[in-house]
Amino acid sequence: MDEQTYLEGIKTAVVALDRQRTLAATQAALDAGVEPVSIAQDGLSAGLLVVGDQWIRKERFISHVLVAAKAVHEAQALVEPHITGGTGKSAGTVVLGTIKGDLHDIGKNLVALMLRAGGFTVTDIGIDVPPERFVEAAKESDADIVAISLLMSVCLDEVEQACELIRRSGIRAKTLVGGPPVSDEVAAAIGADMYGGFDAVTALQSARELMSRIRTAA
Amino acid sequence: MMNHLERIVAAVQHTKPDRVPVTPLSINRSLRVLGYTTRSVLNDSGKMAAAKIAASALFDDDAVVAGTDLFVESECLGSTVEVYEHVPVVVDYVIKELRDLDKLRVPDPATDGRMPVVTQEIRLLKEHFGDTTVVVPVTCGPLTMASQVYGPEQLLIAMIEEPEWVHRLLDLCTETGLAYWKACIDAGAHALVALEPLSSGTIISPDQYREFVGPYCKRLFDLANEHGRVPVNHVCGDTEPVLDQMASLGAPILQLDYPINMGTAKQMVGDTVCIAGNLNPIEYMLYATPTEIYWACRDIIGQAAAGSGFILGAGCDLNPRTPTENILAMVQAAKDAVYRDDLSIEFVQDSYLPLDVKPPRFPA
Repeated sequence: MDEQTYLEGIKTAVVALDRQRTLAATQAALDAGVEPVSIAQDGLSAGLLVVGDQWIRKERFISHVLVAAKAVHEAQALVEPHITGGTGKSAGTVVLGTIKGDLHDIGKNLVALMLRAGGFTVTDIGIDVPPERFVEAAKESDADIVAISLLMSVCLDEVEQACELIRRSGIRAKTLVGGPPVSDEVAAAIGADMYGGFDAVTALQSARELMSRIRTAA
Repeated sequence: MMNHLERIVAAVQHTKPDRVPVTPLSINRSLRVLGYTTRSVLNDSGKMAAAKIAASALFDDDAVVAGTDLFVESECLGSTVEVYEHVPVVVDYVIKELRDLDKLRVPDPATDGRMPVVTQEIRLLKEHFGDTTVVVPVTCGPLTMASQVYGPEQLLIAMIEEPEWVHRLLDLCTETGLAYWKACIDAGAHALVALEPLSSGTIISPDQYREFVGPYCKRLFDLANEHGRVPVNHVCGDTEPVLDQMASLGAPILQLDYPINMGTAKQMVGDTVCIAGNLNPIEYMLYATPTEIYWACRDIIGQAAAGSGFILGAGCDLNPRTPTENILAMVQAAKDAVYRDDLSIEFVQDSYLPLDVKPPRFPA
């Protein structure tokens, strides 16, 4: 089998939401000497991005994305030990968290999945994150983007504080804010650099757009 | 002039209300009328009832909502619920592994957790209002309840990988809901709301709704109908994909959220059910001006009120910081919309100045 066939096999297994087949196809590719980075990006992540697109087109729903993500996560554990050195060029560095007062993490977890599938390096700092911690984490990883997730509108004040704090701190990170209570107008009103969208696939698109803005300005 | 209850009943029965009924969904917001936060009073029936009574006098809306949140049941089932300033959240799910389900028992509404607090609040509200307004508790729907005892991500995965187990869990959650609903009915509730945010089209598919939500909600609605009370099917988010299913489960009122178009909903299901909603509780009720809200409500009334079977309201419950004048603007929009004998709407006055040419800050 050539490399492409192994990678297609992995991608197809993920899209089929077949955890066993995903693991088997991943192991088979590793055993055959396919590049681990290719397995991760062009097999596993590529499959997850397909499922993400199906979700955006309302052909599939969150349950399906989560099952695919679980398969990818387990298969990635097989691949990771084989990856030495870097994984190649990162699409950007992101610090991601759900704002203080909000304990919802499905949305944030899906965003982390999609951003990583899209080649971003993501530091997930969890839920209920106070504004200062976003700044701290952004400094620690020299982040391009601080991505703030929220489901509960009562927490908008804290998000506004976080954006303000990030601006005043002098770090270079841009703020991307997303979730159901947010919109382009709300993002602008609270001082975020960009609206990240309602869902994780739009978050990936927004992150890419924000990165290209950052690179153009640099 | 009709009283609040008569007005709502006319809407539900598709007969002639005097004017458009209105339920802004002021729940935690009502606590603020007496300066309370959710955390300070959610265990105190007396204070909650007093605040809801004061809010009813201030807003003059057509229902009084008992309770504050949808975590009462899952807390009784054993999940750890912490109360932040305005809203409780689950910080630990009682089910960690599938076999933990075997340890759960249906709670006793007379003694467990906050169930007796809410049923007592219902009693106090009935004592005060009698049958002049609709006294209605908010409760948790079975699928959402399941997500609060197992975790939403885990449940969404199990719906694909372990469906038989999920059905067992949903059965337990429904039994819990039935016990609680019976206690609320015995306490005097006129209507009961099943809150099912996890079942929105944003999260699950129409097939998943058919398998994992419909049959279980129907059992709750059947109980209410058997006792002559009105069950309300409330799903936040985009429910257009499941609207026909929602309307076929026996709940005479569907509460709809802002993503759906009320005119479309009226066309789809307006003959069989009463639709309630659907102004955006954040972009409009929290952030917009009273004038913008008044005219946005007019739009909704124009789309969906004719023919009866309509209740004006917000799409979901109001943020506690929602300005009083914003709520009053919504109520006034309903008061200014009178039903003629042929069930068409006459706008008897414009209580707010027309919008100037600048479009609203947050378009619908």
